[in-house]
Amino acid sequence: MFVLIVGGGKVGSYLTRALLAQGHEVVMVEQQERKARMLEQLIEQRVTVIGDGCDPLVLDEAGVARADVVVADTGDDEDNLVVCLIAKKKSKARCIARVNNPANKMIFESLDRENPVTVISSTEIILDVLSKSITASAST
Amino acid sequence: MRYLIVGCGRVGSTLAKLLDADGHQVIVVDENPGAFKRLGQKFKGHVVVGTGIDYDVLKRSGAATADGFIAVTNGDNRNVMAALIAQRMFDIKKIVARIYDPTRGLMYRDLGIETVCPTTVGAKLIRDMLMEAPWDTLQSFDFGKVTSLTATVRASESGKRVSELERPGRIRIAAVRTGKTVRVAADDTILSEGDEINAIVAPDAISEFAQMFQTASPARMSA
Repeated sequence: MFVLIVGGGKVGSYLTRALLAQGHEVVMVEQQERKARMLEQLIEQRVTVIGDGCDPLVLDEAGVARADVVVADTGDDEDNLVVCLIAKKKSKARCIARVNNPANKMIFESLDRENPVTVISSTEIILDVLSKSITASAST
Repeated sequence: MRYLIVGCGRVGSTLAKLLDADGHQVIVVDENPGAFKRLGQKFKGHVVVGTGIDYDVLKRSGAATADGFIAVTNGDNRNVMAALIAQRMFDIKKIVARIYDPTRGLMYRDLGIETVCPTTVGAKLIRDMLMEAPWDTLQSFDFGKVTSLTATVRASESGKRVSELERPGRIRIAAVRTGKTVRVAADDTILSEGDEINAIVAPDAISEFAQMFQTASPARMSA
């Protein structure tokens, strides 16, 4: 599987390493050269494209057209949204996006009804866990 | 009308003042409270501190009852996201977003959001100044791929047929105005000095078009 990861922060870097270890092909797009080189030194492999992952030309260079999965995991919802918008235009890839504000989920999901973007909101996951533990403690 | 403007920079604040002066109800949203200084003392509209890509902030700003929504923060990505929230969560009918990147601007057109690209508009204005353009740029399509221009027929073109001035696939004369009469141009329409023509011009034919209406013009050369 070819996975394109946009955003080379902690999530993006760990994801890249894990997917490579599983034998997948990975390209990571990161704007800051320092972050990209740090990962490459660690894994002793060239896997990054340096540039703005919200720029269609950069995504072309990274091979978006043949991606099976595009992961938008920058720290900003608006940037992740644009990555998904471009990926939907240029490929048939499954899109996975990180979202900070759970209220923004619906916007991501509205981009493509047939092949919806998978939205991961850590805020929502934590809220979910909290509400379950509250229910559990209330019932005991 | 009720307008919601996201981003109180130079464009946002200027637009807010224009709409306010025209009697509209204007609400401006910006993350930085200091930005509202640009609105000046006379501004009668409302301001809301917050980010324009947050449902709750937009709701508090009256997005549910807005007639128009304008996204002019300094981030292209934020503008398209704010515009999508306005369109899909608040069902605002008229939405305009500023997008500096022409490639992305074109892409967003399919989303039903109108985009303004200052990059294309600015570059074309400068090009027209450089060429001392003998035309008025009316409108451009597809971010400058095709432009609609008007120019005045000089003595040197007087008596020529429309087809003589056209270049297949590159310059097409659409309409001719003689005095107060406008007609759709035909191949054999004869042009007279002083007629105003409206042409659709491809980007690679702009300078050719400029020469046609400029170099042979005695009036312009003496000026």
